Amino acid sequence: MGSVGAKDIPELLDANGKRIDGRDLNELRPLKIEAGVLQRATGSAFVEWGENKVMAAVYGPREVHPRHMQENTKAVVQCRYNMASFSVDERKRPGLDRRSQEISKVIGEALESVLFVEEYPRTSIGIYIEVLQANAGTRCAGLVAASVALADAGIPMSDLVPAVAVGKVAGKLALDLRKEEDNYGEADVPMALVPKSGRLVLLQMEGHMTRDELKTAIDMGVQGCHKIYEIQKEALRKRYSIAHDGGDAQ
Amino acid sequence: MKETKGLVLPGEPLGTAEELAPGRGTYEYKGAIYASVMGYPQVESESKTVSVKAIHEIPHVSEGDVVYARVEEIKPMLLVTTVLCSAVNGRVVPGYPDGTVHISKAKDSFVDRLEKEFAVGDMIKAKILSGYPAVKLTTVGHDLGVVSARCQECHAPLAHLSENKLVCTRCGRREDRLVSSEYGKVTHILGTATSSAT
Repeated sequence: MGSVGAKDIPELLDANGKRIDGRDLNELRPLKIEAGVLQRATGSAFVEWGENKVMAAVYGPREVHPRHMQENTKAVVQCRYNMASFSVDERKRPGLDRRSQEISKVIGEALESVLFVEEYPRTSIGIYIEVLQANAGTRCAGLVAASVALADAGIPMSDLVPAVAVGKVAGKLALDLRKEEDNYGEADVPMALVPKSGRLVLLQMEGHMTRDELKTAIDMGVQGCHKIYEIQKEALRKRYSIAHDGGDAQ
Repeated sequence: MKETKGLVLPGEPLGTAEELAPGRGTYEYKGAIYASVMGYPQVESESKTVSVKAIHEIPHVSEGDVVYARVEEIKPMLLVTTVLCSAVNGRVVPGYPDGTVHISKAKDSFVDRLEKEFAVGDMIKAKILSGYPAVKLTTVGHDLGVVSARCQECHAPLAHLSENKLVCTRCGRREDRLVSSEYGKVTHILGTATSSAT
């Protein structure tokens, strides 16, 4: 890529306070979730969120490989987040890197906190997240997809886990950053919520925010998560209620 | 009597802990009962237990379930197997519990020696008589018994010859088995990495 001079930085907020794609500050990108899209996996989900496209597949509970990783009191949650080489502008070198390892870890831990892992000791639950097209917020999209896939797989869990990022662009807090805002903004705070208990199971921050801004950001994120939560539930209902009781499940 | 409602998702409330007891597929949190799996809730009116019948159920090895298992050992009175997966939805049984078939539960007529009905390594279809902690199985039934087997001499797959006879596809050796009506029709048994399903 060429050098990024001041001229190249896009105008992140216009005079009316609208964002680069015409959204308001606390408006989500359009989110579409489809559950049960893969035949071979136990559970799966596909998420299109703005220009993100993320597929999640779940296997298990099944045998643990390698064996020494097995735990006698609970199922181990093995999560893999991976970006396709064609998911970004310039070809990404395929395979594990530091970034994907970190994201796999935080997503796995976030999901483990809602799974009843004690019910299946000496087994593993495999979560595979593939990012097909990336446009900022893929860890949140991956987490949203993975939690729908887990519910689709029938693995006992206390709640679905919606996730969203809040960032700071042109000095203002904004919900659900897109790529330009992430690249040229001042901060990015992804978070994941368990709506039932109000617990945040993922919270990271890149960039700078004041303490008050962070508090507001979390409030904005939690509100966004509740909207995503409804879309997640709707996706599962849409996929399964019709097949079993001819429509309208209450 | 059971009472059912529409589809519920994980985290959806089913009632309060005062009125109902949490059963399978549910959990109790702060005095209320919620679903932990996606499925249809059922209330057992006698025990006041609410449970959720999952759409994609993880096999639980409870009485009456039909499963696939692999023969591991033949004792004089007992067949020891590893329970691999549900025969209903093909889903792996977590933890691969051991399942045993007592000689009296192998078939509805007299069994002289279990070695005449099974061999180590055979895949069998069996029904569960009692679940955890000791999984007991039966192979009494038309569709129950050996569904896949290999030659004791050369390890080639055995083909079905007549009612209780199998013949080796390579060396022609004949073997006796308690053959299920599904012999040779089960093409894929999900299970361990060591699964030798044909």
